[in-house]
Amino acid sequence: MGVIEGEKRQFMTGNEVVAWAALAAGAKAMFGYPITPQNEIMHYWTRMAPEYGLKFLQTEDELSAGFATLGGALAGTITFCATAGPGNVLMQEPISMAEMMRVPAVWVIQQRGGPSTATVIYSQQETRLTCLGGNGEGLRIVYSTASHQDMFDYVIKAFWAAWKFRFPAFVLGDGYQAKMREPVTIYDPEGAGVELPVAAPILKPSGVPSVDREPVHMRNTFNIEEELMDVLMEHIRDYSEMAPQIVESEKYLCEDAEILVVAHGIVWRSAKEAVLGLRERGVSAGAFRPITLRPFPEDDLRAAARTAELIVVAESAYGQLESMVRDRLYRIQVPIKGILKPGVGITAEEIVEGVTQLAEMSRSEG
Amino acid sequence: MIFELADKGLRPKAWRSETKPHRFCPGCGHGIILKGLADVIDELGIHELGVFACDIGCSLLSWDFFNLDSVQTHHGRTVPVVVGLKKVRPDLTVVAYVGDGGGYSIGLQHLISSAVRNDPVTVVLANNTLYAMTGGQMAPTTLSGQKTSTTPYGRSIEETGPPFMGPEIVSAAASDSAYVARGSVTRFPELKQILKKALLNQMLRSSFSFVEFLSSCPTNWRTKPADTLKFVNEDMARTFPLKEHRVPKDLS
Amino acid sequence: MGNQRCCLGRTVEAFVGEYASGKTEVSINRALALNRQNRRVVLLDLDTEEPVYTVRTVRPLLEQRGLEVVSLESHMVFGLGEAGVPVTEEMVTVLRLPGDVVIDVGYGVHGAAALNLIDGLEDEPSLTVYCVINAKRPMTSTPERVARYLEELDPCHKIVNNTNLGRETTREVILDGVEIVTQASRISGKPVAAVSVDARIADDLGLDRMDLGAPLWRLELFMTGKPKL
Repeated sequence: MGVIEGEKRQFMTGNEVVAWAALAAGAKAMFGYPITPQNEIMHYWTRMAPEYGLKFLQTEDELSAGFATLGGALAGTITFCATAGPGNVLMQEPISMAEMMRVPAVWVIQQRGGPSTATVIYSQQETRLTCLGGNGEGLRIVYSTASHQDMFDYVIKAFWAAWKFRFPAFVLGDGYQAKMREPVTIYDPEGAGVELPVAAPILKPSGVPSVDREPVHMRNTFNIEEELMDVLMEHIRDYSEMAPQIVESEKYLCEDAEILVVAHGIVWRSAKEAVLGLRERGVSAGAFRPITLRPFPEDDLRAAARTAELIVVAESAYGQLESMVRDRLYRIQVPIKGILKPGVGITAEEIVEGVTQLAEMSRSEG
Repeated sequence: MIFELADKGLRPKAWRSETKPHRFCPGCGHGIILKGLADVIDELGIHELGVFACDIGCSLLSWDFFNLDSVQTHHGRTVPVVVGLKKVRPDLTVVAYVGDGGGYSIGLQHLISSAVRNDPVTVVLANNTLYAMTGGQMAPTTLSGQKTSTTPYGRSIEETGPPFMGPEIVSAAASDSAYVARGSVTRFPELKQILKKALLNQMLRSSFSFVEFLSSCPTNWRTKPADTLKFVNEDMARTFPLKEHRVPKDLS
Repeated sequence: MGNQRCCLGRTVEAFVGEYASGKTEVSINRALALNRQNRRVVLLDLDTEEPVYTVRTVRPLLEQRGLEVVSLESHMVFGLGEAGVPVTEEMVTVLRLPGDVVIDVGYGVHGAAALNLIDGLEDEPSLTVYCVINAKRPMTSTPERVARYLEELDPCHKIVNNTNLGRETTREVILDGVEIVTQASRISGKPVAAVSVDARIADDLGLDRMDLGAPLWRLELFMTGKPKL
C-alpha cells in the first residue's frame, strides 16, 4: 500500500500536485532553493517530511541543490529538485554532469518570464533551455504538462523514465500551472498498474570495494577526443533506442485538417478550444501537441501535418517551439508561421484570430 | 509636502523624492538603513561618483531609492558586479546592498572572495533572519527553532547548521585593512557611523568593507511593534553580537 | 491615537486557512453580503505571501460593486513575487476606518499571526476569526487532519466549511464535506459557522432546502481563470 489509498479526487494547486506525485512515485529526498513560482513544492515537501520520513535540504543556491540531487541519486535514493527562471539557468551545470555520467534525477521546472529575472509568473521561455541547455547534446527526457492531471501522471512517469533509462528527466510546467487550483485524481500508482522507478545505488552498491567487488570509479573528463566521442555515441545510441519507447504526443481533429495549430504546455488548452471555434466557422483546423519535447515526437508531427496547408505554432516565447517544429519538418513544403507572445498567456480567441489573419496572409502570399 | 521638506534641507539630497514614500512595509528595517546611507552619502559628497547596486529580494525595492546611478543585479551577484565596476573605474565609490540570502547563501562565495582579495568595495547587508520576499523561507541567519515556510516545525541546528555569523566569518577571511562591523537598525546614530567608516575605508584606503545590520521584518515575523523591537534587540542581538569586528589601525 | 471608537456593533471578521482553501472567495462574498445590508464595509487584503489569486487582483471590479478595498494596487508594486508583497500604512491602520472590516489573511506557517500586523486588533471587541476548510484538499481531508490544522491556527473561533471540487462539486462532495467538518468540529470544539458553496451549484442542487447543519453561504466566484498579478 502506498502513501495514497486507492484514488481520490482532490482540489489542489499545481505545486502541491508535484509534491504528492513525487511522494507517490517513491521519492525520498528533495533538494531545493527558493525561487518563485515553485516554492510551494518545498513548503509541502517539508510539511509532509516527518509523516513520511522524507529528507530535505534547502541548500545555499541552485548549483548546490542540483549537485546535491545528483549525490542523492548516486547513493541510490529516488531524489528530485525543482526550480524556475534564473535557477534553471544555474541548474544546467549539474544537469550536464547528469547527462555525461548517466545519473538519474528528476527536475520540475515552473517556467517564469525571461530572460534574467523578468517576471515571476509565466512564460514558455525555458523550453529550449530545459531541452537543450548545458554544454552537451541534450540527452534529456522532457515532459510538457497541460493540466494538474498531467502534472501528477507525468511527475511519476518522469521518475520511472529517469531511473529506467538513466537520463535526467524533466517535467516542464509554468507559474500558471503551479498556482492554479483545479480538481485532480491522485492515486496509488502501483494499484493503478503504473510502473514505479526502481532505485539502485550507483556509487555504493553493496559489498566492500576491491574485496567483494570492483570499486566504482566514476569520471566525466576524458583525455582523448576519440574516447569522448566513443562514450558519447554509446549514450546517444541508448537515447535513440529509448526514444520510441517514451515519445508521446496528442492530436485533436487532425485527420483532414488544412491548418495545423501546434502548441505545448498550458497553451494546448487554448489550442484545442481554438480549433473547435475555427471548425465552427467552417475552417478545417486541427491541433497537435508534443507531450515529450525531448525526444521530440517527429513522426507523430509529420503524420498530423499530412493534410496541412499551413502550420501555426502558438507559444508564450519568441520561437522556441517554432524552431523545434521547423527543424523536424524540414523539407515540408508548407508555410510555418507563429503566434509568439513571450511571457504572456495565449487565449483561444487569440489563436482563432491569429490563425485567421495568418491564413489570409498565407493565401495572398500565394 | 516631501518636496518642501527637501527644499528646506530636511531630507537628504541623495534621497530621490519622486520615489517617496518608499515601498517598504511599515516597520521595515530597510527604510532605516537606506535613510542612514542617504545621510552618509550627503555627508561624504559622493553623489556624482557613487554607484548603488542591489540584490533580488526586498533589497530590490531600493533600485530607484537614491539620486545615484543604480543597478539591480541577479540574486547573490551584486558583489561581483560592483567589483567589476570598481576594477575599471577606481574613482567610483560602489555600494553593494544585499539581504541575508543574497549575501550569506547564494552570494557567499563572492563575498568571501571579495574580502580575501581586499576589493575596494563596500557591502551592506540587512539581516532579518529570513527570505522575506519569496514567502518567508529559511535563511542562513534564521534562528534555532524559528518557524519558516521551509522549516515549518522550527529550524533544526542538527540538520541545517546554526545561524550564520557573517561579520565574524568575513573578518576571518579579510585582510588587516578591511573594515567589518555589525550594527542594528534600532541604534541609528551608530548605524550611520558604521556606514561612514565603511565608505571611508573604500574611499581613502582603497580597501574592503562589509557591514551587517540587524534589521526588522514585522510583516514576515507577524509581530506587533513592541515584539518586533524585542526580537531585534533581544533574540537577534543575543545571537549576533553588535560590534566592530575588524577596524584598520588608522581608521578614526 | 487609538482606534476610532465609533461604530459600536461593527463587525470585524478575519478569514484564515490552508493555502487555496477559499479564504479570498469567502471574504469577498462576506464583504459584499454586509454591503448589501447597507453597511459600510472595508475589505482588507492581508495576503503577504501569494502574488496572485488575491483580493488585490480583482480590486477594480470590487470597487465598482461598492466595496472599499484596502490593498496594494498591482501596477504600483515593483517586483511582485520577487520582492514580496509589502504591507502598507493604510493596511496596518485599517481599523481606524469607520464601518465593518473583513480581512483576508494569507496562508503561512504562522497561521493567524498575520493579524498581529493590524494596529489595535487586540482591542477590537467584535473580532471573529473564521478558519476556512476545504475537505477536498489533501492536508485537510480527514476529521483528524482538520482538527490538527485548527489547533495550529491560533486564534480561530469558528469554521467555514468550503468543501468543493471546483466546477466538479456534487451533492456527494458537499455532504462528505459536511460529515468530515462536523466531526472535526466536535474534536476541536470549534463551531461550524456556515457551509459555503458556489451559488450556481447551490441552486442546481437545491441546497437551501437541505439540512447542512449550518447556514448556507452562497458564493459568487471571483478567483476564476488563470492567475494574474
